[in-house]
Amino acid sequence: MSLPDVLRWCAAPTLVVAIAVPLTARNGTANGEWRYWGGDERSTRYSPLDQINAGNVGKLEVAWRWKAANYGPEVDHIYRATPLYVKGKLYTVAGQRRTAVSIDPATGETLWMWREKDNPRWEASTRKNYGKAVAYAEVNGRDVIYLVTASYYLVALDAESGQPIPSFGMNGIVDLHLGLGDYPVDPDRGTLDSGDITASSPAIVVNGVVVVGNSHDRGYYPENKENIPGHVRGYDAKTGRMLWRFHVVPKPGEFGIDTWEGDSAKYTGNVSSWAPLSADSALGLVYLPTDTPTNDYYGGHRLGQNLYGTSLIAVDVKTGTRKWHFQMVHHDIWNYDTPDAPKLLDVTVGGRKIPVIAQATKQGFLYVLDRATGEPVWPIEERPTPRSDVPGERTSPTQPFPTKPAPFELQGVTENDLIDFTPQIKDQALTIARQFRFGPLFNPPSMAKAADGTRGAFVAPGANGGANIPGGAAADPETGVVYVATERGHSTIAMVTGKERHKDQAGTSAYVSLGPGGTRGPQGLPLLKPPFGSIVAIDLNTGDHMWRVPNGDTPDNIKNHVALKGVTLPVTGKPTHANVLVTKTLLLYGEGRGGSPLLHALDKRTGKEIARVALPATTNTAFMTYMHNGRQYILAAVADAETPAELVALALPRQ
Amino acid sequence: MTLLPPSHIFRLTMRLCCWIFCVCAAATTASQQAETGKASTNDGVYSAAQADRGARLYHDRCAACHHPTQFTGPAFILSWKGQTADALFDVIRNTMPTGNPASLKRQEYADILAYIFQANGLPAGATDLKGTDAALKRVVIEPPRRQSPPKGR
Repeated sequence: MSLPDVLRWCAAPTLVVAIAVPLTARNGTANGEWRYWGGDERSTRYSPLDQINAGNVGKLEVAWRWKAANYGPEVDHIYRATPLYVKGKLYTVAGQRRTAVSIDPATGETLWMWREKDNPRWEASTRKNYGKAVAYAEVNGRDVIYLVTASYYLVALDAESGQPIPSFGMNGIVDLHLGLGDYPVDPDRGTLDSGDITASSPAIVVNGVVVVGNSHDRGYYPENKENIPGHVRGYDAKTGRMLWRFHVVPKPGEFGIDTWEGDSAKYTGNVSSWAPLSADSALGLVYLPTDTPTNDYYGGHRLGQNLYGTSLIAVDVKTGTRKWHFQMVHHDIWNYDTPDAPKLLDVTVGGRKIPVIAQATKQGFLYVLDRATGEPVWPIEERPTPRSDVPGERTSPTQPFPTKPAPFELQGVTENDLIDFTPQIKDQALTIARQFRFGPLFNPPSMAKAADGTRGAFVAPGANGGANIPGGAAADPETGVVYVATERGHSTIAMVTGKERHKDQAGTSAYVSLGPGGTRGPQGLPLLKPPFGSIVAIDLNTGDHMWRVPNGDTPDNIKNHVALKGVTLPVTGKPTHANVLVTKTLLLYGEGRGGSPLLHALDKRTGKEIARVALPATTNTAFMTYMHNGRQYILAAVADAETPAELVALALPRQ
Repeated sequence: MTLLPPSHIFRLTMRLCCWIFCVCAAATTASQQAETGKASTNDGVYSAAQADRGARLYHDRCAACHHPTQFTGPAFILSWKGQTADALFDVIRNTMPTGNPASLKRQEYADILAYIFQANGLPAGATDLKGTDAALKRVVIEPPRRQSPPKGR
């Protein structure tokens, strides 16, 4: 054959492939696959599979189990990872070492494992055990698994062999501590002397670019006001070359620098995009949900609105330039970091077709924007919010309030929101709660020994949401409905001086919080009245709530509580984040960490429970579903204090 | 018959009632303990050496996120008053450390609980608080008894 003949012969299939690739990328759950942490690049956690349906879901049985507990120096009793299913194989991570594994989808056999060498950066990582997934892409005909390690390296593994691909980076490895900016990079410690950057979420591969976020240590009480900003990078999927870096804290001359007073943009860090990312490969955009700037509860060293803290940013995936952004919390001092990948859906609002992006958050709002332009679909109003009396602090005078959809969780606290199963319990709750300063949404942190006698601020939602990463949301592309898993929670935030908190190790942060968390209610009961946890279905074609259900039965320790003998309780749900997944007909959920070991199946249109299936332990995070050799499986990471981490695969009994 | 003035009758009656009440209360408490085998956190349910171990564990595994004062004081103790120690133990063990909950030994969690009791001014006793479910269920959480005023006041 002559060369022209070969080219002619090759052209036709190439054309077919060129059209097919974007569809495959978008429909990560087409053909019974699950190619991304969130199913598809839109993070919908939706699968069109319906071999498992309302008629048979109650018959699900355990098909196989894979033990995940020994991938680190401690046995794992928590498991936060969601597997991928691509071309007949499962891929995930396990343990504090964040070992990458491939597993047989029919039997649970381990096919290969790979983990990074032991090193000081791993020792220092505060997010070792938060590994959520790997990423996948087909690169020049080869299936590649991308792993972001706990030491913050990017590794490209051959999906077949599990071995690093030598032509990527240096023998398969790219050092993510390089290229963050002007930070000295030690051969062993990387940039650890400048900050604590690491990662927990997977990368996302979009149009040949591997986009990598990052994470930091918990920011409640940092000693110093300085940290490394979580700049997001794009790398060439084939070679590992860094293509661009997006500055989440602007540099001088860049857009947003005027939202940082003085030289605070020079030293403030965090603002990481720690949650998994979403993308629209047809638009060529990757969407970054960001974190609070250093530190979570005190902004006295960073006056101003602080772009791009607690924002959603749309970035051109080829160039790394900002297309649009939306800041959800100005000058965030509530630890309202954006805790889930945003969901992408196409809906019709008032007769107009809109490509939307919907972000569920800790603060109890679902922000719905046009994902091409960043314009709110329903008006979002700037409304006045309370001032802080912590020395040196200056809250934003206003915050954005979506007018639609209505909040999905309790925002702000009044005495009316306290637990009141009996008058005695309510009295006790009042005594406990009145030690703190009540307030509406965006009640600022207050001093541990305030002039008004309070011991801190009573803040709802608290640092655990609202929505948070274990639950997040699922989105149905067929109906335009978003299902948000929410927990009713609060924080009691008490501020002290850096010296009081850190004593001899006090650093440069003048004020810090005593720590995260809230205050228990009377006799160990929750402090706020139920529902303690819910799943809320919101129709994005109208912005209206469709239904809300509790995420499980009333917990046993409340049902059987000695102070509640003879009291008729509502179904309260669990004080947990349910883990949700939506299919053609079902809304499936696990009760999440602290819940009962059950998988629930609901009618996705009405929220009515159809069946519940027993699990060895409760689900810990988002789970997934896939079709393999004609059999549909549901695969969930489960663990609790008594049950070490494992994957459980459920399927219908074989005929 | 000579009638006592009303004030005398009142005082006598009150003294008698108080005495009867105190005897009954003591008897009830004793019999409750005998029946249920429960001890109060005011009865010295942990040892000083154990609280020291707990303090070191707390420093190593908890203090990075939680200043000890988060778990001391009226707000904290009122929250758990009346609950048995296993309820608080379970909350800690099931959720913490946040990186890998339930990764410490049961006895280590009990040591940390001992430290928290100590930090709340609850008295130490002769023996360790055991980290078994049965032992923890026998301890009822109560606020520290007020110190009696020094003699002479």
